[in-house]
Amino acid sequence: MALKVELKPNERVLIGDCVITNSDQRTRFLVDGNVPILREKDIMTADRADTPAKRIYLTVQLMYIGGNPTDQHEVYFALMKDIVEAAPSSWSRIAEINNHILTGDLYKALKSAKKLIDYEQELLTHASSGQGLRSGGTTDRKSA
Amino acid sequence: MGDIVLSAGVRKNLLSLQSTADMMALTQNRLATGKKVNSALDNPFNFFTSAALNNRAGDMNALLDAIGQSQKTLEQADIGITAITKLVESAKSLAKQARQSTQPVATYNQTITGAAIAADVPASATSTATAASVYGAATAGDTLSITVGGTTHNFTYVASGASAAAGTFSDTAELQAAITAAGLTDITVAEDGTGHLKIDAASGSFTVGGDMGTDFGFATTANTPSNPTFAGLTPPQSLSIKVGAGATETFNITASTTRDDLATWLGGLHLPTGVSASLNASGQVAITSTTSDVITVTGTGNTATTLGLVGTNNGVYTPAVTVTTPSQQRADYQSEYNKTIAQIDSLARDSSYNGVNLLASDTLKVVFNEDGSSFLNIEGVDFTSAGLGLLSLDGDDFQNNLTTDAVITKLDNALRTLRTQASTFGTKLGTVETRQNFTKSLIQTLKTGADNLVLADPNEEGANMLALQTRQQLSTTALSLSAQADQAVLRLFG
Repeated sequence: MALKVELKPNERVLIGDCVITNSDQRTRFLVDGNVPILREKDIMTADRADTPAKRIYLTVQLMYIGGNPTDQHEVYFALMKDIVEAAPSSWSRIAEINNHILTGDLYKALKSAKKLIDYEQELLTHASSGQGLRSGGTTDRKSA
Repeated sequence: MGDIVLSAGVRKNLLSLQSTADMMALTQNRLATGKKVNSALDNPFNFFTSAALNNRAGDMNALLDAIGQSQKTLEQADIGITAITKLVESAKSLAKQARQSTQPVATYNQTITGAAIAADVPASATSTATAASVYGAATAGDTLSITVGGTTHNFTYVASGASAAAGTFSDTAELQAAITAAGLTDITVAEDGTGHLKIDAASGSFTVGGDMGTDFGFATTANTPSNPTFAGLTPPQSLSIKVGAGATETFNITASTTRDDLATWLGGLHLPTGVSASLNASGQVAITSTTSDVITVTGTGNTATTLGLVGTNNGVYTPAVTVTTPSQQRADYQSEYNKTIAQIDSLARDSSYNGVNLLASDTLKVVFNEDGSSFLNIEGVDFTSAGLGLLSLDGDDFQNNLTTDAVITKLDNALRTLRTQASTFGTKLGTVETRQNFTKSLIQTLKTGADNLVLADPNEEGANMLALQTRQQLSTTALSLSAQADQAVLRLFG
């Protein structure tokens, strides 16, 4: 079944090995065949991948558009190990990504990686807002 | 014994001691098991997550074993293919050796008969005006012309009752007489049931002209014969015949091509002695040969099919060979060949692993995840001698070069099939290996995850993530990742 793509003016989309940039009006088109397709808003660049989860997203994205997922496996597992060690509660999201990679459905893996980024954001928010409480807690425990 | 009253200070110290004892027990247990969370009571969330991770690692391990077995099945099939390929290659060298030895005398015979081609429909034309009205309005000196084979014959109208000189007429009967007198014996004119003038040609085309031709309403273009069979080919098409090493001769079929044209062409073919081609009494193309020539009949579009000339080998006809005094040497090669072919069957049968034989049409299902939603079905093939199209030879196949060549062609096809299948299995093996490696790495990570699982405090996890974020910034992993991203199409989004 063909995939329907609609682009806003000047929006870009990655299809296979090329990038298509829309001109100044809305465009709608259909894509047939089995090639990676990514909208500009879903694309993660190396510069923007500055957190552990975003790096995982970038890795999965490289698997998706690269055609040979094995190239990224080493980096992927290194990153995954890091994140599981730092935040074990992220496991269920990571398991989801793994399952999709294993099933060969890299697009779904990418969607799951996005969930991981959201979860990471949650954790990082906790870290910045709960800093005072946490150090307080440590002090309490010491006195006990 | 009276109650012992504990002061607040003593009570606090005692509680502290008790909890220290608990902690020591916990620590000892952790040291003993190497895990920080050992029971659901220590930390329910972590315990159950950890247990789930361990279970999953266990499931994955079982899966990995199954994948390993599948790999073995594929490898076994590959070994089988390699061995069968060697057998086919040696069978081919036997056939080639037979072909190089002296060829015994043979007689050749073949008959090719096509499908019946419908009879031609002769050229014919009917006037739009009735004969009576045209004759009534005609004045003496009006002409009707009939052109046949490039020569135009004029017939002049004269008043009724005037004595008809040569080439004159005043009615249809006189016109017919004049036409016959002019030597156009193939042309007949008559008035049909409705009084219209109808001109028929027994063969060939004709054109009607002159002022009376216009009065009758005849078309000014040529009236041509046609053939329903050829018309069904949606002309233009063509039929080509090649005999042995001779040149290919081609017959072009247009809208006006008739069966007679084809018969003429067949009669004029440049054929070697012993080969003849004609259109037989049933309207079929018939080619007979007593030479060793291979006859190739091809056609554009559906021509060869419609004319029934495709045969059993795509229009390539090989003669039947009769050998009166077979060569013993060639017979020996043939019996050796048959033995080799028989070995293919036993090899194909022995290529099973774990009850699955991919060379005997079994299907191998490789499951990649625990719930079985991801799997790869590997379709088996029939690589017995029959499946490869290599049958044991019981005739005089090796006694003649022509029939030996046919055997060699079959062997070449079998070799091609074997090589293609080997590469197909290779690709599948690659897929299985990729998944296997992924699963292996995953199991390792699962184990690490389960063993380190001590945190469920979002604050602490958050802090860890911040630290990791900083640490990764400078790590080689991050560097290699950006290098990979730069090579890909992603840099266009930079």
